[in-house]
Amino acid sequence: MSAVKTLNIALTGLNNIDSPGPGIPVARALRSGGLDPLRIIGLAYDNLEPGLYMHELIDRSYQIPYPSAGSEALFHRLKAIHEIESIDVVIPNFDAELHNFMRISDRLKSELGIRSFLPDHHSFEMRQKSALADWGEKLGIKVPATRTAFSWSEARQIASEWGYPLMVKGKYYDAYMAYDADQAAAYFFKLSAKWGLPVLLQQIVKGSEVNVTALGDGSGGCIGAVPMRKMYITDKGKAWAGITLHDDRLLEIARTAVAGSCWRGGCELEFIKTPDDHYYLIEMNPRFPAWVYLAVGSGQNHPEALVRLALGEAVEPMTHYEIGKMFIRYSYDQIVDLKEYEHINTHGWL
Amino acid sequence: MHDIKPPLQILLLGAQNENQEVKVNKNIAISESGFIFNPGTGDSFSTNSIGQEVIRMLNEGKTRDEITQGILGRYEVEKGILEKDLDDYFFMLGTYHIVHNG
Repeated sequence: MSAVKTLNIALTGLNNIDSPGPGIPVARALRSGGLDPLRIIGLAYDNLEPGLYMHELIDRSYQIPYPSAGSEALFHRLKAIHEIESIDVVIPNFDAELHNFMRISDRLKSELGIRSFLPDHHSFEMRQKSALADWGEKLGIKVPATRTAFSWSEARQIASEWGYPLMVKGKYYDAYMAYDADQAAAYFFKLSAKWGLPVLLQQIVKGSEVNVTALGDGSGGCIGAVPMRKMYITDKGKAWAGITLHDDRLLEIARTAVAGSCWRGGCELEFIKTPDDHYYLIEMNPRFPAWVYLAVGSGQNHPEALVRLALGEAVEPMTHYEIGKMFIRYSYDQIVDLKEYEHINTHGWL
Repeated sequence: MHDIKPPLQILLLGAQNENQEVKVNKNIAISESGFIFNPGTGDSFSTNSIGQEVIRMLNEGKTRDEITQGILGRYEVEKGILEKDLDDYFFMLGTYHIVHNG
């Protein structure tokens, strides 16, 4: 009788809060797939990330250094965790940490045998918020006019050319609509303090927001894509409920973006659909969205497919999904024993 | 979710040709309970039983005039009031991309 090797997958994004990271939905997707036996190792930046305490989904969790500590610190921490857990695949789920993971991905594989499935730096950079308009133009994808500002005086100059309202956006996250110069200045300083410079200004396109979660194979192929419209949006602009759509045009544009970037890994494409049926790409996020479990629920398990691609397996593109499938998010108060909180604080793992 | 229940407040298509075809858009799903789902936009609506009946007749390819006659034959309603309600209803269905003029 031969034993089946357990697959050890490490992932980040355990902050299942009001502006949730994708880690818990990704873990849930992996548990729903055919990857048994499976062990999921959580990687957390903060000891209050709720996923740390979700033992039904996460087998063991470890603290890792904040992205600002750099890629070398991340490599050494992952090496130490790997010596205990024998990690097979790592899935980073935050925009801000991706640079570090991309930088060490080759070493993780060659020195430790840890696989990942990440975009290369070229692909990553071309969909940066500041470069999106140029990239979109090359692919024939409409993108609202976007400019970067490294100072408030620069931002004020752009705003005076465009007029108000306009969007003020952080380098990695967060976006606000500013209706006048006072608001724009307040958002500029808030975002630059939180995410650094530059801050982005984007012209407003009116319409409804539609998003696509997708998985690229790194060679221009799209392994899966599911479109969704937000039905309920929180004050942070996050979807609290959404529904899958039948929209071939939107999927075609999403596949063009995945092909045009030779995207490798999960991504989220955010669009505005105008009343006259034009689609404007407003962002391409370099990881799965927090609503990725809707894709699983409608028939496409993108996180499982990503793991199989990382392991070198051939994965057939998924084209079917159930239209009209909804997700409705909820919040839940976990009761946590102080001993657990103490353990992660003092030992760095749980 | 929106309710679509004729009679409605807005009058717009009063000048519509009585024989003009109004067609239900492709892929629009309508359940027996009057729940309407547009898979292209993700919008959903509910309509009452007469609204359902009107949409059923549209799906059967009936013209505006045939629908009017069909309802007049089954319900006690003045023709003028019915036509106004149908105008309102078709306008609302068009606004929500459920039907289009054929």
